[in-house]
Amino acid sequence: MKRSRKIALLTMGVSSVALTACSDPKVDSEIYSSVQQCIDQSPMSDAECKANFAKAQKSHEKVAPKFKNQAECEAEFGKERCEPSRSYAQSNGSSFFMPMMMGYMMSRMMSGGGMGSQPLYRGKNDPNFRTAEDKKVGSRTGRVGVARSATKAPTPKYEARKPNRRYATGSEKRRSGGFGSTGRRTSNGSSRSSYTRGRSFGG
Amino acid sequence: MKRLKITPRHDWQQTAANHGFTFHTPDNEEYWRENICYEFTEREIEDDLEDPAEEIEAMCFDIINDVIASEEALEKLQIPKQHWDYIAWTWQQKHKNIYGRMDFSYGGAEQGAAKFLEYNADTPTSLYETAIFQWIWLEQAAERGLIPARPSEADQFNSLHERLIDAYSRFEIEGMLHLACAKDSDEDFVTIEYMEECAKQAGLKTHKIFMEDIAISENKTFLDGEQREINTLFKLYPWEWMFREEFAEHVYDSGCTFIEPAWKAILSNKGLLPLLWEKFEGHPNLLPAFFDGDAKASSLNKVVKKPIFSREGWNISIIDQKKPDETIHRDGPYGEEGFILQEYHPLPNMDGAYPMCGVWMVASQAAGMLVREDANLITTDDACFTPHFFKS
Repeated sequence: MKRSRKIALLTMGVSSVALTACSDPKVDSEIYSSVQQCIDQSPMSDAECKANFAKAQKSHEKVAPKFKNQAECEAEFGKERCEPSRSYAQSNGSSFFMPMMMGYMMSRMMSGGGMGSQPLYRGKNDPNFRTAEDKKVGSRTGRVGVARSATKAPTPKYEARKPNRRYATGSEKRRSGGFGSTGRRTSNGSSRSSYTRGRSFGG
Repeated sequence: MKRLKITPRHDWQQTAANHGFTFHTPDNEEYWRENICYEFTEREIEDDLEDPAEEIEAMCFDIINDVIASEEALEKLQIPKQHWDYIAWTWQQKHKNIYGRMDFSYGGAEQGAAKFLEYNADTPTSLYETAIFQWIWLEQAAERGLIPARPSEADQFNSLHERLIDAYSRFEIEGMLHLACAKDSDEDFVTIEYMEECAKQAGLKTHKIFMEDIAISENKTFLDGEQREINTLFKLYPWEWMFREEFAEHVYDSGCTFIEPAWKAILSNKGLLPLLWEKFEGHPNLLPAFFDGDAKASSLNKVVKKPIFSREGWNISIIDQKKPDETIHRDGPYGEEGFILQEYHPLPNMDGAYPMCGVWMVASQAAGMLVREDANLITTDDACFTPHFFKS
């Protein structure tokens, strides 16, 4: 058989059947911006709050995104939100810059039942926490559900990252129409009348 | 492979309406045609179409590795220089692809190997009717005895629907998937609606937008109509057009991940055909092909001249190099960027119709097929979609 099963529900067309939103698998996690907040709010013991913070802080040096200079780091993470790496230097001898740790996230591990703890960062003008892997985990602290893919242990980073601007949020000044001009030109802007408009811009 | 005259379902128009298939008879011209269907053998499907398509996909990946390392090749493909780094980056970062369609000339096992005509690797359409409406036809036609196959044995080269859902579930998309096409095309809109359907079934949050309405923020991120950042965009809009438009300069730095990724611009380009022939000359599924102006092309008697960028058969010529007066040509808007020449290999003539077999790839695996037949040798957007089946 080329098809293993019947076609499932369709939201398209007038016979459409609404789908129940099927959510990403969530993992129970706790997010805090400081040890003190954890101690105040978490059902965990003070010792656990401290141990997990230390664990996140230790991995921060390794896993934080690295930039070749302070300006590139601050462009994404904001003024005075970046620090030189103490443990890793670039091949030219100068320090990497990396965002400061703005919080930490503890998640139940998938296997073994242990607890993972990792550092969190915040982009410039962005209320969301992000992992060192650039995965958004929301702006709330306390006990939260976090998409499983975002709770994976972050990888070490020993090279400077190309700056990107995705941390910055939209602004009130919009400009649109920078895409789509070829489609219009090809479909009906031509002076030639010998061809009719195709049904599709695809092919 | 046989062309069968069969009885259409009496209620197929109603069924189409019920399933959102709105363009089956655009401008009163037939597109969906079910008084004809094609019957294949399982061996024809598996050995002559499915396996070669996956082999060609692997060969295409070899070509990409070559092209991104070669300025000469990038120039031949007419890819603007300012986008070379970006294309290479999306390949090195392994940005995932979701779909494509390889078009073959194939007339059944007796007529020899399927010949690869071109790769609609970036913006293929006809997806919804292949995946859904063709499958519904198979079930109903077998059930009602309209085809010579019992329901228990009637099968179709078509796992598109579940493969698409599976592929989306592996994309690891953070936040929302935006899907975009150009305004004023029902067919394109149905394609992105169907893609949205599959993405939703894979658990993703989605939002549709027109290409013309994508905005840029002061921070050079792309925004939708509600000021939300576009982090992942499925765009049914060709890369070769995007590269030449105003927002092209922001593509690299926008932080947006595109589906199809920009490396598909190498495969959707007709220049792929001479590059494949150069590297894999003599492969049974390839036709000799050369860039226009290459002296080696003179060895071919009859050639098909195709623009580097072209869609739906526009600006394609069939030229007998000894009798240039007898050129068959479809005039149109493409061709500024140059041409390639491919050895002429006519589509099979079956009762006066010329069927073309399009093999769908999902995440680089062969996942289904459409057959479109035209009354002419150059398949255009007038070609009719004819369903197919085989017995398993």
